[in-house]
Amino acid sequence: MGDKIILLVEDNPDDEALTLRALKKNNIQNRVVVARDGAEALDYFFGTGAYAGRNMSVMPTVTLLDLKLPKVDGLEVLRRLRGDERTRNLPVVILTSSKEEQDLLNGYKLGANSYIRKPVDFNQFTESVRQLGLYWLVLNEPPPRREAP
Amino acid sequence: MIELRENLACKRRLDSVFTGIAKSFRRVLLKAAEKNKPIQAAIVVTIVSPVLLIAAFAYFATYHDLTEFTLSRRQSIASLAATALEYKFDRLTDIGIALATRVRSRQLIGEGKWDEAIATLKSVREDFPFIDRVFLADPTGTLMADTPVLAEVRGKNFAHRDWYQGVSHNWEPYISNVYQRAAEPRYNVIAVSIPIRTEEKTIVGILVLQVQLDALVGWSKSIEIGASGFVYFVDRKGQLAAHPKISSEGEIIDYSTVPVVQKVLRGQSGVEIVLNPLEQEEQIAAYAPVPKTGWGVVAAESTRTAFARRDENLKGLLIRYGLIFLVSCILTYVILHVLSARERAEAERQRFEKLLNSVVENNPVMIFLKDAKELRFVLFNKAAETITGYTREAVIGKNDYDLFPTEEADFFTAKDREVLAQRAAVDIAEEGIHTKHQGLRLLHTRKMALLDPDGTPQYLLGVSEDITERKRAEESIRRLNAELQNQSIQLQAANKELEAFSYSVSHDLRAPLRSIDGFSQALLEDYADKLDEEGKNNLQRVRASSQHMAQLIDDLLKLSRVTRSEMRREPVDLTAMAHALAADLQSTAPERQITFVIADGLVAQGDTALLRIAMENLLDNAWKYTSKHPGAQIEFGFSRNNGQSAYFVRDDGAGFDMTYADKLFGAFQRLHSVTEFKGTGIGLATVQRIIRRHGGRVWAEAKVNQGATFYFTL
Repeated sequence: MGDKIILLVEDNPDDEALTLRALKKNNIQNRVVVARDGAEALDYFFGTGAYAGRNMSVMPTVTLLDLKLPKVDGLEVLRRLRGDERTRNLPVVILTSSKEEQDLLNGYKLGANSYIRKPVDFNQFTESVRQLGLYWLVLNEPPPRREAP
Repeated sequence: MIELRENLACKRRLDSVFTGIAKSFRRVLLKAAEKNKPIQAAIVVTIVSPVLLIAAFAYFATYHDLTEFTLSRRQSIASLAATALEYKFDRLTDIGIALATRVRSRQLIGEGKWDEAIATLKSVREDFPFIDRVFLADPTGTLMADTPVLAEVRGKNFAHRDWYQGVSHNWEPYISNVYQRAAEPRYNVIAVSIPIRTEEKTIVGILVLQVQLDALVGWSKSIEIGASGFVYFVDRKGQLAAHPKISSEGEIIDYSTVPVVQKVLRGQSGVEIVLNPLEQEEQIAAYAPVPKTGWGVVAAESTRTAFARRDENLKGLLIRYGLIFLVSCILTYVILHVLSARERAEAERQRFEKLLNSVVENNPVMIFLKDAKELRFVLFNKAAETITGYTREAVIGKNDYDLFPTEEADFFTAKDREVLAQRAAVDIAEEGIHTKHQGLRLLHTRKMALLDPDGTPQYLLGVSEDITERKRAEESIRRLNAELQNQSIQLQAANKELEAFSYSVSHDLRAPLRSIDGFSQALLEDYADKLDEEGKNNLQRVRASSQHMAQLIDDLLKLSRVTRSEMRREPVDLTAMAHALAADLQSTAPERQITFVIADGLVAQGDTALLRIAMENLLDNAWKYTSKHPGAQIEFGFSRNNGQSAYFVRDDGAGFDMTYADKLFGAFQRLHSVTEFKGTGIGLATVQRIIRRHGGRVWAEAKVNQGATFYFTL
């Protein structure tokens, strides 16, 4: 499991801390890369900005994507990922506070693999993260990895 | 000069008289055209009666003329016959005189040698066959010699005979009356007796030439007098001397009692229509005396044949006039018809003209007409007066410059000229006009050229509508529209804002709650050994509150979404929906013993998603408030009460006090404590909003601990 990276795109430090806590509580010890806005997330995916020159053969096994983000919002990030050959098939789970129908529709339309609403009850949240990790990191067979061009 | 004026005045009078006659004639014709029977008859009589009068006049004139002609022809015939007879008698007398004056004869008679004398006369009968007998008598009337010889009469004195009395009267030649021969055969004869004188003028004898009446009849017959006409002679005693139809033998017929005979014997001539007693028919009898003899001639003819030509002519005349009458009748009819048709057409034209005038006059739109040359007004209707404030008397004959400010007049005139030049209609959507009484008004005007038959513009027709009020109204509508649009934009903006607000509420308000809950939990987990029971309990309360608040936020968002979402109307199967929701509820707590009674076939018109939310809330409530009632029953159905039909959801749970029923549907209003029954107080508010959006009504009936029924209509 050690080489499977989780990308957490989350601007709220509290949520970040709580997510990491929930992961830890569930013994998910994969490396977690945190991007604090959409632009940073895109930099990570495409090896630009702060992530220029990173090993592009390494891609997150699952991306936990918040929707409401500074600079570039979550749906835009998703669109860009799905619009690029390198990132098109990467599993993206939308993890957000919003339960707006419009957000759900847009998320799925743009190719989100899953949509999870963050519950306020931390115990429920922990449970959600557990199931999420189990599914995407253990059960799910990721798309074949391709070498970077 | 004065004379001329008088002439003129006279002419005018005459004109007016003629016009008067023509007018009254026209009136009469008009009335006739209106199917006025007596007047039509009068016209027919007026035209036809002269024809009848002329026909009658012609008839009577012709009748008179032809009668006269026929009668005078009879008269002429009678005169002619008289002259002819006179001539015959003259001839006879001449023959007698020639014989009596023969020297040898006179000598022989003077010597008393009668036989020798008669011998010289023997050839007379051969020379003049109409002479029947010749005899000689002495001056006393005794027959001395005769040829042919009749022995019994020789030596007999005939002084009683008319021939003797006549000649002996003054010893002049004498034509005798008719008498019967003394010897057999005793037919009737006349005689001419001529005195024979010696050279010393001594009467020595009488030469008598006896003529048989047949000869006279022959003469009378020689006169041509027509088909059934005849001529007869009477002697001076009125005895019939010759009649073509009566035999000259036998008894001498006395006609002296016949009136015309009496007249002719009195020397009168004439013509009469008489009734012939013998033939019992009407005759024309013309009579003329034979001069010198005292005889008379009567030319008679049956009126039937005498007037045949006249009657035929009259018949022809009648036929001709009959035809003329017929033709004039037909002509009258045709004239009447044509004239009345013309009058009717004229009346119709005038009526139509009036109608047209009234259409123009009463048209609510301003209509005016200008002459094409000088653009002076020639027509100005009532609406035009109302709009401009000028009376037509003030406008007719004027042009735009006389009425309106120069700039306006320039504009009007330019448009007029344009229309006339192009001969096409021009639509002026808006033009200002300074009226007399209302200041500046706005007109919508259409102008067109009225052309004469050869295509030259004759008039300019203008039709204008006062659009001032309409323009004002349009302006205010436009303003209102703009305002509305503005408001609508603002509203849309407000909605957008609200949406953004809702979004941030759902997203941003929850984040801190998650932190509160999450970190409280972290405290509880990480610092469990440092917290006493009360500390742990407090942290639990913090967590419960944050979760409750999250629930409140969610419900609030749901409520707002119900209001904002678009609504479609479609058939919604409420029965199926209730079954599905009941199954969901049952699955959340399978251990609960609860009976769902759901009516079949309830299908409503509405928005499926919204109605599901409403049904969900109602059934949730029923489920919730029966949670402390084992073996509860929840019912969904449709009821008709007092003419009010409604869907209902009924439970036999906790119910509520109807005193607070008015608070039931307010947001965040609750009739039970959270500890009693959980909830945020948003469910029924949501239901009410959904039902109201469907145009329906929702209400509840309940009693504490005896359940509640929620009714709704759609």
